[in-house]
Amino acid sequence: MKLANFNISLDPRIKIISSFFFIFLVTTSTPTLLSFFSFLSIEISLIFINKIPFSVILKRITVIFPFVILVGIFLPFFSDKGEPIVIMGLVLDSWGLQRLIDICMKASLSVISLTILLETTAFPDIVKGLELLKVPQLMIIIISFIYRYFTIILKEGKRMKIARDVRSTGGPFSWQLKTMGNILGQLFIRSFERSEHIYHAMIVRGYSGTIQTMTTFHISVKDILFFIGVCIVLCTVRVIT
Amino acid sequence: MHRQGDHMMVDISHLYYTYPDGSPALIDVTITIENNCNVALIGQNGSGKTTVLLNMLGVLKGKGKICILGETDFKKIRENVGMVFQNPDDQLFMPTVFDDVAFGPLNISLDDVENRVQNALHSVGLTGFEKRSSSHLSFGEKKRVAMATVLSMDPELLILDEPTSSLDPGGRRELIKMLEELALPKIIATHDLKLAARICDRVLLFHRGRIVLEGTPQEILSHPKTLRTYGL
Repeated sequence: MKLANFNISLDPRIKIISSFFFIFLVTTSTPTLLSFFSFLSIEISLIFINKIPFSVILKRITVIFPFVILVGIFLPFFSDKGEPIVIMGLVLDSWGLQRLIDICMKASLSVISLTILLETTAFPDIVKGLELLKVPQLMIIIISFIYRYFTIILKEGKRMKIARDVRSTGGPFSWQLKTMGNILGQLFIRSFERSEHIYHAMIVRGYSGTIQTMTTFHISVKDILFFIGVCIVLCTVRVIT
Repeated sequence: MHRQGDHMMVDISHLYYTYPDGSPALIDVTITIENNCNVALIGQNGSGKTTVLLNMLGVLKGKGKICILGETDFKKIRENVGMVFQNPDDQLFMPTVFDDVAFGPLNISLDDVENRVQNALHSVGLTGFEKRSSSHLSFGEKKRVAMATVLSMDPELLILDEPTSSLDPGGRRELIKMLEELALPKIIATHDLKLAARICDRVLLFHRGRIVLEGTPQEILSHPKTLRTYGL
């Protein structure tokens, strides 16, 4: 077994369960620097073993971080549960600041965990894994359709934007906002029409409410050993920290 | 499996269909097609070609009699008729090519699905594409996979909506060659008059929801003035 594809060769179900178990432990643990660095060191080991470029991890964290900041940014300003502290002339609440740091630490650990899962598992395998783990089929269909059609709709949006740009030379911000609104409205209508076409294509091939697929995953001894190892390491870290 | 008997392959009489906004899409359409006949439906955009095809499979429900391969039950018709849509992105919605091609056979509980998928992919020249995602295929390849998704259901009749649209000349040639080699009766809605002449035995010309001309490709296509009158 090559180290480079250590995770890749595992059963997707084991990887999904392990990732979510990791996230569960991270989000429910007492936030301390020791626990953060312990969980982070496990993730860094997996990143090295699977030879995942750090740039990919950083890219994912960058995408998700604005939302994380949005969730916690007001805590240091509006909370009054802790002592007031002054940083760069701003009066912040120590408890709120601590919570913001906790949210950032937990979010980054969770994002890294999901990135490792996504980088070592083909998306169709994740979908099939979720299906075998008895995730409701409606959710599976929504996830797989978003994966399949997101890029297509994005490309359609880009084409519409180009079509607008070649016929306009700027204009006031309010006008640009209005045309962008029109583009989004058109995109919604087109997506709706497309979903109707897809549904037609489904029913002419016998679809009657349930999507059936052939699954070929088998849990091997290696998968079981990996999962036991993950549980032992994560529980140990959790107990110690 | 259904067996072709004495009945007509397609028997549609007095079919009317009105769009939800109230505009008529099909007006008194009557089509009779004999077994093993390749038929082209031609006409300008919005003339009703695709609407007829969707009515034949019960996707749209108009008023009138529809009997395909001796069946009037749309569930049974869909088991025996394969339809390839104009835009392959509408037809390929599963995560992998294998899943897409296996979708139909699994839904109608056919046996030996794995072999069916392999054979269908082989017949469109895409052996080895099973694990690929449809998102990462070229348009021509998507068209072929879309074809494989219905061939895997072992249909008795193939319905194709604009099979050569948006294909480059090479892709178009390959697709026409593939259609010629397929020993299945076909109903093709198309603007591609050369395709109709090459593959089909009969041509129906649609105009504003009605059939205005009917005949062999030679009869229809030898009247360019008439074709121009009807927007072709």
